[in-house]
Amino acid sequence: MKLENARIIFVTIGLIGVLLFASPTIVLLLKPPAGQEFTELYILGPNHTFDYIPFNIKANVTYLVYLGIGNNVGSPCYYTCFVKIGNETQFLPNATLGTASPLPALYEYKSFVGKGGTWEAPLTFQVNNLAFTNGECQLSGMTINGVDYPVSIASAWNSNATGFFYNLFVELWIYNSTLGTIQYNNRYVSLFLNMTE
Amino acid sequence: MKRQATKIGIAMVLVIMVLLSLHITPVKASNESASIEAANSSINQAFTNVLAAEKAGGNITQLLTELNNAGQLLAAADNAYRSGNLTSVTSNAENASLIADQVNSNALSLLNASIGKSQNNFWLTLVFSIDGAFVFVVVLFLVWRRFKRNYRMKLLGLKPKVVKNEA
Repeated sequence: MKLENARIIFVTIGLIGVLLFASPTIVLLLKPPAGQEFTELYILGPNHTFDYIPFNIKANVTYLVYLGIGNNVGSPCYYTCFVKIGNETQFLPNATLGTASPLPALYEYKSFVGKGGTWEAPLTFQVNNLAFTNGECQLSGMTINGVDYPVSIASAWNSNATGFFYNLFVELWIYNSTLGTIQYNNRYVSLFLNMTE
Repeated sequence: MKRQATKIGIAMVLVIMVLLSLHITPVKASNESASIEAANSSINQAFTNVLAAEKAGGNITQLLTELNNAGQLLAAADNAYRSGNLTSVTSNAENASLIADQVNSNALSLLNASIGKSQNNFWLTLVFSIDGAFVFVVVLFLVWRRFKRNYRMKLLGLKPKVVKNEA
């Protein structure tokens, strides 16, 4: 082996060694690029599966689903979920504009989920007063997780889908610590409910 | 005359009582609203500090569990307030505030401890990197010198060999 070749090998070993010793500091100084940051929001049926999701609803019967959140934001998050109800024609959240529904919230959940963590809670609901008159269904009373709410929402008969339809939906809001307020996260899940006699 | 004065007096008391009752309801509701607002503010502040502690490298698992308890109480207060049942609103909101204030205090302690720990960790890592790299380079240089000397000795130790020129 020529001396010049040996010198090149020694210099290479030296550089690799210096890099290896510097790597712990480099890791502390340089943060790897974050992946896609998002939050999952889901509703599961009473068996924690997609089976038996309530659809045909009767008055004074309690229905159970599970509401869940998965935090893939890369840091702990403070979530607020608003449960709202409206008929077919009332405003749902606008996914294009990223705006929440203007309908008033009935029930809310607050949860703090760590980085990569999940959260799940039961959502039980019951419609208390249903009146069917002149091709219209009048909902005037609802219980969510044991709390009674006076509501007054009418739904006209949908002749195409044959039913009186309502949307029970959950909006996801996240606390923004920089602004010091909660913001709609442009995510919602809804249950399409057909009120029956 | 006396009877009429009594009647007027009773009527006035009744009117005052009705007016007072009209006044008391909104004041009560505004008290509930204020306690919810205070709890909200405490929880927001606590979460901001918990987030800072996490960024500084602290273990916030326990603090998040406690914040979840405070969040549940605040949500219960909010839900009761929306439903119009004001009986448990203030107590739930105040309990939420108490837990949040405790979490806030613990988060600040954890933040300070974590900042000190992460700074120590950073300096230790930096010293390890600089010292380690320096020692490695020095050792490699010494090895190189020894290698070069051996190489030259080997060259000097070679005996000249006469090769017949075929051309």
